[in-house]
Formats: sequence, structure tokens, C-alpha cells
Amino acid sequence: MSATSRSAGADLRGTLRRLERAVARRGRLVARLTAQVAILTEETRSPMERTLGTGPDREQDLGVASYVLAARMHRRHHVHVNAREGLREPILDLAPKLPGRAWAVRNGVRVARELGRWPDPDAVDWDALPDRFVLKSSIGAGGVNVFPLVRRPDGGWTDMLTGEPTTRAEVTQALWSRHGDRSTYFAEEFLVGRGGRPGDVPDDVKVFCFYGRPFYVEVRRGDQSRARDVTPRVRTFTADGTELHHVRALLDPGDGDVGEPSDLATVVEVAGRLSATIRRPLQRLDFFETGDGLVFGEVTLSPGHPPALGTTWDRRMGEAYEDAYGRLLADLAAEGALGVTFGDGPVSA
Amino acid sequence: MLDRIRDLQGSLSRFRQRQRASTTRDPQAKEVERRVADLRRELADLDAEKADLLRRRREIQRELGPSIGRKVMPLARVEKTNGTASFVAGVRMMQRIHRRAENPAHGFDGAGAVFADRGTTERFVLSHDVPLRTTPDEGPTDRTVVVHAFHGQVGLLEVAVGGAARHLDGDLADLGDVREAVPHDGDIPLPASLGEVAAWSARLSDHVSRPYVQVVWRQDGDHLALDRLDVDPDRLPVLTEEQDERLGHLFDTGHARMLKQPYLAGALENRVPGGVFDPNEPVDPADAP
Repeated sequence: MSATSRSAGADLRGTLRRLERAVARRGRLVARLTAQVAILTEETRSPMERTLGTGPDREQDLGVASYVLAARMHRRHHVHVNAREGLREPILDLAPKLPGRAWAVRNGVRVARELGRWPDPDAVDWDALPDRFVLKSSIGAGGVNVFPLVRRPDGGWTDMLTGEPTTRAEVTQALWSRHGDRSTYFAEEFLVGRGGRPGDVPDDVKVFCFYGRPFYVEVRRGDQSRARDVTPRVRTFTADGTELHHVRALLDPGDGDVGEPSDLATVVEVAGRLSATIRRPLQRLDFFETGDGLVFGEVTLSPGHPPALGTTWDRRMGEAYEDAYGRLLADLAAEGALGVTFGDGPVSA
Repeated sequence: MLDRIRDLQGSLSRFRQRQRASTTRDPQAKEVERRVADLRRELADLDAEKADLLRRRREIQRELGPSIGRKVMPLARVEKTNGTASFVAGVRMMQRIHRRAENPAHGFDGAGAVFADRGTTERFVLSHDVPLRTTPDEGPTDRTVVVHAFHGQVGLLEVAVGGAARHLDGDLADLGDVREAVPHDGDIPLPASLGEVAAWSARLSDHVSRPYVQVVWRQDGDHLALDRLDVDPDRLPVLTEEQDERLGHLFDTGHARMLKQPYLAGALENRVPGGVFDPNEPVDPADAP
């Protein structure tokens, strides 16, 4: 074979490899876009249309389960309805970080070690804190009141959520700006993700639970609202560890930078145990996997972004929700806390 | 610049020579060449599909945009919604849940069993100071009144005669033609006792452990008489989108009211080993495992 032929063959094989990679990338993108279009198409339909089929008698159609419709209903109730009706769901007691931590501890689940607690941002004893810690307010969602801080050689700090330098004064001011009557401030140990470097913020492991039964798990990176320049990335799994692709397709799946739960069996066991103690058909429990084991993060009763899933998984998760609600109602009825109530009025016609 | 162009032309010429050599002499290269051609076609097809999907995505984002007051709905905003209340979605969801019970007709709370029994139903009705029939109120023999009640609130009344019905809201105002399956007839006379029937039905629904119940009254001689309470109706009105959402808000309220029963009994409290969790009880961090 001539040198020219060998060179041509090498060129062709190089072209082949580049094309194979391009086709694979484009295929993934097309699959994701297809899933996005399917999800968005569902979003254009009303809840009634999404519930009912196109059968000849829609009034007799029992409809199909939908996680997103159920989750949005609970969120609507939580935000607009329950308070008006005098209903305060006890899960709300677990949403602030400190009671949430206490509840996890009482249920035998590890939380990050607390380094100090203060009534207001000015009272934080910075000098008593180590070179790495996380300063938090007990209230606030989406990481707005969470500051993972690492001391710099010049005495300043790096905010590890944003990667930007910051100062005591800036952090204190940011905390004051969202200060409320119920705010308490505390510092926690800086957790190190399993296999991670000190100072790396560990990935969030978010477990969607249905009254004791974890069903769907997300590993998220960059999911903090203060880090506006960072795109949140997510990988999704079933509780048995099967990875789901293009299921929550509106979120960025990352480019291989988001890990997977390294001990999903423990995550699922602990999440199931905690979820069973909450009398509500759905909630999300967040954890961190660290070199020292699983650490509880927080309870989220109604995520600000209830996942919009592809149709198949929206229905499957909707069925998990309905199964959970049924089990909860059965427990409540068995305890005599739910049922038709008779009055004291006369019982003669 | 001319040198650069000459270099590029030279490279292109050498590449074409190599390609010719490979296509004419090397069988393995031929196979690779065929595969390369296939992949180029596949890539072109995928590019076309991608372009089509991007166009469709943009169209839908434009369609959704006005719902948040924007021209285009950003992808990141799609999930950030509380959704829309829906009568059909809410009621059918609760029905599907209760039908998972060991006895689907009874439901988990046993409400279906209570109202499947005429004697128990009458005892329930009378116990809430609601009579089983109205004072004399003459009307067509086939007249029925269906009250759609949401734990103390009436959202829809349907006075039906023959195959038509007069659709009214909880304040007895005509809604017009809101239910495709049952044509509206605004000339159907309203029973004199309709206000009482609505109020009684609302009172009864307040004591049923479901967000929604149909209370059905029928003409019985010169009275309207209670026919049944139906917590698991096979037939559910499919209304206009506007009315479905209006009743959906009432369903949402009914759902919250339904949960107040276990809530007030303390049954919704969070659990810890040995009892319920008290958020005010201090926990020693040393207890952490």
C-alpha cells in the first residue's frame, strides 16, 4: 500500500470518528429537543384537557394521573388556599432549616455539625469560625441565604456558590437584606463531597418522596439562585438507580460534570424513613453525600419549580403520588381522623 | 493572502487525490467511505430535524409567553408556575385515589359505603337538621336538581327536565350553555325551594370527607325529595374552560377543608420515634448520629 493510500485511509478514519461523535451529539440534542417540545406542548393544554382523553364520552372519563398537576395543586394550596381556610400543614414546621435539622436528628439522620448560632447577622462571631464554614439563615429558599465561605490568604473570603471574593461586611449586609422576624443565623461545617476537594460545594441529591416511598432522584449542581451566572445542571434517576434521560428535559443535563449518587441504596433508605414521618403525600428531601456519609439538607414541601416531566414519567410519578395519597388517607381513616361526620340533630323524618 | 489561498488550494488538491486513491484501490477504505457517506446523510437529517424542533419550540414558547406577560416563555420559567385550578382534574384525581381502596366504591374513608345505604344516608341528613324533602314545590315529574357542592360551598346547580337543564351558579344566577353534554334551557322554571335545597346541600357537603359531592334531589309528587349523595359519580360535567377553572378554585377550597378534619385531630403532625415532632423542643446537637 502506498504512502498516499495509507494517508488517505487515516484521513478517512479520522473523518469517520469526527462524524460519529457529531452524529451522537446531534442525536442527543434532537432527543432533548423532542422531549422539550413534548413537555411544552403539554403546557399549552389546560388541566382539563390534560386529564381527559379524546374518547366519545369525556364526562365518563376518569382521566389519568399527572405528577405536575398534583404538585402544582399542592403548591397552589400551600401558597393561596390553606391559610385562608385555617389549615397550616405541619410540614411547614420542617421547612425552616433549624427545626428541619432537629427533626432529622430526632429521626436518627445525620446533619452537618453546627458551629454556632446567632440572633442577627451582626452577632455572628466570625473570629471563632474556622477557615471553611457555611453561614446560613434559618429561612430562605434556593440558596439565597446560604454562604459557603473559604478564607483567603489576604484575610478576605471566597463565596463558593458564586466563586467570587467577598467580605464579612458584604455577607452581613446580604443577610440583613432578607432578615425577618423568624430569622436565626447559624454556621455549619463545610461539607466535602465524596471524593471532592476541600472547598468544593457537594452536589445536592434531591429525592422526590411519596409518603415513605422515594421514587425519583435528582443530582443537581449549580442550583443556587445567588449564582446567577451558573447554569443549574441535573441528572435524574429512579429510586433503583436507573438513569433517566431527557425526562426533565427543560433543565440542562450537564456535560458529564454532574455525578451520580454513589450510595443510592442509603439515600433511598434514609429518604424513605424520613418521608414516612411526614403526613403529606409528597415532599422533596435534600441530602449531601459526603466522605463521612449521607447528610440531611432540608425538606421542601412545594418546590418553586415543580418538575415538568415527559408524559410517560409524569404519569408514572403521578401514579406514585396517587398511591401515596391513598395510603395516607387509609392511615388517617384507620386512626379515626377522616370520615363522614354525623351531626347531633334530630334523626326523625 | 494569495500565498494562503495557494496553500489551501494545494491542500484541497492533495486531499482529493487521496480520496480518489482510496475509492479506487482500497476495499477497507471503500467501506469506511460508505460509512462516512451514511453518517453525513444522517447528520444532515439530524440537522434538519433539529432546525424543525427549534422552530416548533420557539412557536410554543411564543404561544405560552402571554401567560406570563411576555412575548416568549423562557424555558427556565415554564416550571415556575402554580398551574391553573381545574374541577375535572381535581375531582377525577380524588376519585382515582379513593378507587385504589380495597373496596373502590367505598373509598379509603368509607364515605361511599355510608351513602350507598339509604338508611344511613337518611340518618346522616337528618342529623344535620336537613329534611329529606322540601315543602310543597310542584314541578314536572321528571325534574331533578343536582347540586355540585364543595365542602360547604355550592358551585353549580343543574335543574334538569327532559334532556335539558338550566345551569346556575351558587348564587342561582344563570350560567347559560356551559355543558356541552347537557344543553341549557333558560325557560325551565326554577323550583321555589331551590335556595333551600342549595343551602341544605352545602351544609351536608361540609360533613363529607371529600372535597366534592353531588347532592341529587328529584321530584317526588309535589315535593323535591333527596335522592342521593354521590361521592364517586361516574359522570362528571365537562364544562367550558372558564367554568372548569371557576369550579376548580372551589375544589381547591374543598380539598383544604377536607384536610382540616385530620389536621384538627392532630393526625397530620410530623412524627418522630415515640410521638410527634415539636419544633420548639430543643435538640442537643450531640444527639446527631
